Amino acid sequence: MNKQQFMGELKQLLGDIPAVERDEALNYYEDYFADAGEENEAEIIAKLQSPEQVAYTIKAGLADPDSIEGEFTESGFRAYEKYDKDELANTIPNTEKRGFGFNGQNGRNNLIFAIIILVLLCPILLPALGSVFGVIFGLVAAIFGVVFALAIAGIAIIVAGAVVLVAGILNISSYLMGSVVLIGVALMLLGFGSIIFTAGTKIIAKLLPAIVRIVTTFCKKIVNAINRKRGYV
Amino acid sequence: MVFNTGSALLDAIVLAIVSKDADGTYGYKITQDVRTVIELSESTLYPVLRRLQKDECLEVYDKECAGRNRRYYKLTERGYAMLKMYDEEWRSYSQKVTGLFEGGKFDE
Repeated sequence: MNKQQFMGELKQLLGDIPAVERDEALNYYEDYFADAGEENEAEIIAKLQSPEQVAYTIKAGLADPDSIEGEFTESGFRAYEKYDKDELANTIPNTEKRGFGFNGQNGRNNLIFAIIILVLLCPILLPALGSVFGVIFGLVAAIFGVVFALAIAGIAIIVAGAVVLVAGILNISSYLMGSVVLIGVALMLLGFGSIIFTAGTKIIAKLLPAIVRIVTTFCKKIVNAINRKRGYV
Repeated sequence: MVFNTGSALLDAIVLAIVSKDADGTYGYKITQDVRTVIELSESTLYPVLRRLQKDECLEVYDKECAGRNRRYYKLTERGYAMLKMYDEEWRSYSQKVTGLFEGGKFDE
């Protein structure tokens, strides 16, 4: 087989692709032969293997830009592991996104479709997002309220206990029995109050940093996700 | 070669090679230059060049050479941005792997 035969067969094999692509590819291989030099013609034909092989790679490249997931070596086609092109594309500034998380050759259409859906859903999504945030905030505030109330209740009980204790001690000379009961009740109140108070403060001490941490990581995640979609990371 | 060359790395290598010539370079030369770095069959490169061209990372122009028009490939601004990104990604990736092999520290 010589160059003319090779190119002729290639042209025939590329009969079913758009004329622009066919001319482009044929032009490339004409150049390729010319640049390799006439003396290397046979060698180039051998290295290109066959018009079928060349036509196959051209068509594979046209069918889906991401389908060339392997290379044609002397030992035949070698497949690569799937590379996450979407993620890579997201890291390039001013890049038109290839997809919106879904794969496939309709990535661009999917992106447009996704944007349209997002815009249409805006009136629903925004309030929904708002209410989700509201509910989360409300829950956090409620938990805080309960725990805080616990601590305050502890203080109140301790104060009450102290008052009763003083009352008991003051009246110990006139009503001995009653005062002993009062002092007993006061000691119980003091103990009970301090248990509740320490429980409340301990929960606050543990809860507060945890909530701050959760909220900050959540915010960071959102900001990161937005940045990544925009391609700033 | 033991390691596979993924399509992203192949893109990166092609962009790097084309960027070496400010005036651009042509298909046959690109293929030969790529083959000095990785093993690759002669027909693999055309779809890659065509795709990079469609993605506007490469632009083409024809230049008269020995009585015929030869097609030249040249990096666009976007191509340079892409190459820069690949360069950075590759550095951090290869540094980690090298660090691992050398048993040194390879923290994030």
